[in-house]
Amino acid sequence: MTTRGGALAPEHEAFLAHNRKVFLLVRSEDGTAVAYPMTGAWIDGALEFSTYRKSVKVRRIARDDRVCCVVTPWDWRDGGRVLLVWGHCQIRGGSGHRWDSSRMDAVAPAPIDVPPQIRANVAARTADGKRVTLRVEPIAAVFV
Amino acid sequence: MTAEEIDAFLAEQTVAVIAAVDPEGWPVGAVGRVQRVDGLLDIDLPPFDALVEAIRDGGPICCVFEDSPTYHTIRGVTIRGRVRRRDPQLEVEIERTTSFDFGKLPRSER
Repeated sequence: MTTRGGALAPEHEAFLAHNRKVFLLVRSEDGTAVAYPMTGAWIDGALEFSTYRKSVKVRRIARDDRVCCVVTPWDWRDGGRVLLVWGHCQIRGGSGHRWDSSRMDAVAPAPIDVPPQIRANVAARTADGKRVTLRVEPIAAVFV
Repeated sequence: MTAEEIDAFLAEQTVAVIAAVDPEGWPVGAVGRVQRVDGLLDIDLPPFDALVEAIRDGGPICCVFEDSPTYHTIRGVTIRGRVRRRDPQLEVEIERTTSFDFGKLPRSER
């Protein structure tokens, strides 16, 4: 059933390619849902996010990798459709791993202007293993 | 954010992401109208069957409010609670409130 989504369609991929604001829904330790606002990027058939390895969300995903991504336009509070994407979330990283924000921006600009120092910090923390990449390959999607 | 900042922030918010877990254990969510009124959350659920069916009497629910005009002014509040009433409007008893404010991050993170 996977919450009644269907296979990823071209219109879903087009929406993913142009909208980077994502709320990542994961399961907490007690089984309830928790939502995290994120900036994602549609890369090579998956949604990717960067976050700190020691963050609570990573711990929760390591425990239960089932996630729902609520992908929205930047003006998400003004109404309009959003795309729900479900998948199993992989945690990727380690020394030497790369997070290339310029490649992300080439897909679609980030919803807000991220200062260069922040971008450099993210790249450095990814390379030294303190930040990881979360990767969600869709198994179901639906517009709401 | 301080409790006062959270109160001021929530007073301006009318829309949130609503999240629950479906019977098969998958997280599910949507965007809907959510307001904090008299210490409870009043929620207008969007007509999305999977989310409606994931929310049950006395069951858990999570709502996230977020505002991000610029990177350094990103702020948000996450509220977790339990459904107290479903009809005619969804009412949630608040159990836990957390917040984030990028303007208060350590300088090394800015």
